Amino acid sequence: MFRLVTEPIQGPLIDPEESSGAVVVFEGRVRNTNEGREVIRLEYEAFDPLATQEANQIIEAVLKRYKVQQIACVHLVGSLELGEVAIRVEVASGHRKEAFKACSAVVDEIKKRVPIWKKEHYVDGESEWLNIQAPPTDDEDAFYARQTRLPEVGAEGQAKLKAANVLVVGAGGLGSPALLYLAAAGIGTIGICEAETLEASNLHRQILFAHEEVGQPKSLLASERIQKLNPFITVNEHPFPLTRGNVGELVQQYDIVLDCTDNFETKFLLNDACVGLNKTLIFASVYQYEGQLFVVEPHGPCLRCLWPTQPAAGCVGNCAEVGVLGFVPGVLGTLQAAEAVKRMLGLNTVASSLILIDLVDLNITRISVAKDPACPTCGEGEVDELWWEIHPDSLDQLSQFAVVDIREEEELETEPLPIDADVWLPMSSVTPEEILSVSPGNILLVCRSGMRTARMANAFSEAGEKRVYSLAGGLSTLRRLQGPN
Amino acid sequence: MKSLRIQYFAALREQRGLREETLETNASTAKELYDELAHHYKLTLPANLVKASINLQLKDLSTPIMDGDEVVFIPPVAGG
Repeated sequence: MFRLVTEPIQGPLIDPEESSGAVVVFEGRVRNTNEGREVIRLEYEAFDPLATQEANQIIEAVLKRYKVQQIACVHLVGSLELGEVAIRVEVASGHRKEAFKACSAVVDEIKKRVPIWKKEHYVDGESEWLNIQAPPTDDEDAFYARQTRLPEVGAEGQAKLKAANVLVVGAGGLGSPALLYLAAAGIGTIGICEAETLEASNLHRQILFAHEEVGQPKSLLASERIQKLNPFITVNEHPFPLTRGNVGELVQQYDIVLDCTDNFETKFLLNDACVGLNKTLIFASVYQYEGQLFVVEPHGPCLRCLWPTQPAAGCVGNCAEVGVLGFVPGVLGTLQAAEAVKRMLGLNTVASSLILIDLVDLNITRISVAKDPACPTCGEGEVDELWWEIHPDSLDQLSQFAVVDIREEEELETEPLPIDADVWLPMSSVTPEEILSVSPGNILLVCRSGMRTARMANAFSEAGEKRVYSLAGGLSTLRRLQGPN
Repeated sequence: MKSLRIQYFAALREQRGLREETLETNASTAKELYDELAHHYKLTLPANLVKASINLQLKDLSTPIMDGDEVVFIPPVAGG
């Protein structure tokens, strides 16, 4: 844990366990020069207890992120002589790699966030308070020099980009290039909504990330990556799944929303929220070697003008089921960023058209879409929800169902169900009659993501059986409702 | 008989096994044409999830089709 001290710092601070294969120690010392000036001593002043509280939060977050065993940190305040230790960080961990990373992260974050100030005393008798939270000293104008040269951009266009707020929902195959190009173009505020952690199977298309980051939260990784690319912008992390309950509040904070998700549920949720709040929404989806791009402008045609009812999850394959090459979402995500940037610069955009792109033949088909007066979202119609899809707000709501886990045997071992199912009937061998015989009342099917159960519930519905439901989101919904404990 | 140019996308392209073709049909609307193709090539996507564009304009499936029309069948896609 963290302590502020006034006496010289002495190590060690931690007592490593027998399983600690690595201990990394960092000492920050008083150096005799800074930016060309000769320093004779330093003075540190801290705002406690906020400093201690903030530093402990940093340590908690780093412990969790790098899964290291112990972290301790001490910072000296008062007057320090040359060579004296100002800060000492110790990290114990099973392996050295995480220990180095965690140690570096603790020092970086403390220098950035904790209210501790440093005054340098120079050899010439002068002294100066330094801003520890040093803003990047690079030239911001130089960063954008090649694009401000364009007559359509210039300083004025760059200012428009800086003033813009863009929310990217999904930091995956589409979100990776979209986030990189939005950040590089200098979009002033970028939000990243992404709840998942990085998996190895993401990396062939999700070029924001690195292999060594597998297992870490994608919103955090994405935010760090684009902030490193462009330190002149603000990045907001929204590390939670989008739901009916939070979509409005989130979308409200932004001017433009990019749908970089891979499921119909979120796409329709975003469509309905953005139409209601008059936000521009830029959709993209991919299927194997082709993609669709569609921009919904305020008062223009929307997704439900095309598809009034949300298609069932799993009715067409997603990337996990039918496969995809990385450059396909790469091209489509880049086009989403292009549409957002063009819109802010006042260039032509593809509003009111559905763009179909085939990357095998490199064919681009542009289809005009008209506003549907009977559209359930932007017209006079009513939204016809998938009646069999259940979106519970609490676990209590599941008590009215007989819960059937339809996953296969090997899945049960790796991911046990967070609640007790009434019956386990693996999809590969179960018959419709067996499912219906579970209960004379309502039956709720559960799988990993809600896709297989959506297909099954839809099939029951089409066969006229109206008491079989699918848990939207599957296991992740159960985990969310259960909370951290 | 009318002759039509037809393009398929995503799951439909896969099930049909090709990207485009020219064919002769007696179907009078886009819906009749889709039903005919669905029956013949065992396309599994229900007609209510399929969009048809006729000569690059998105049309209702009940729209009549004419000799020489270019018809594009588009399913919804969610991957990302």
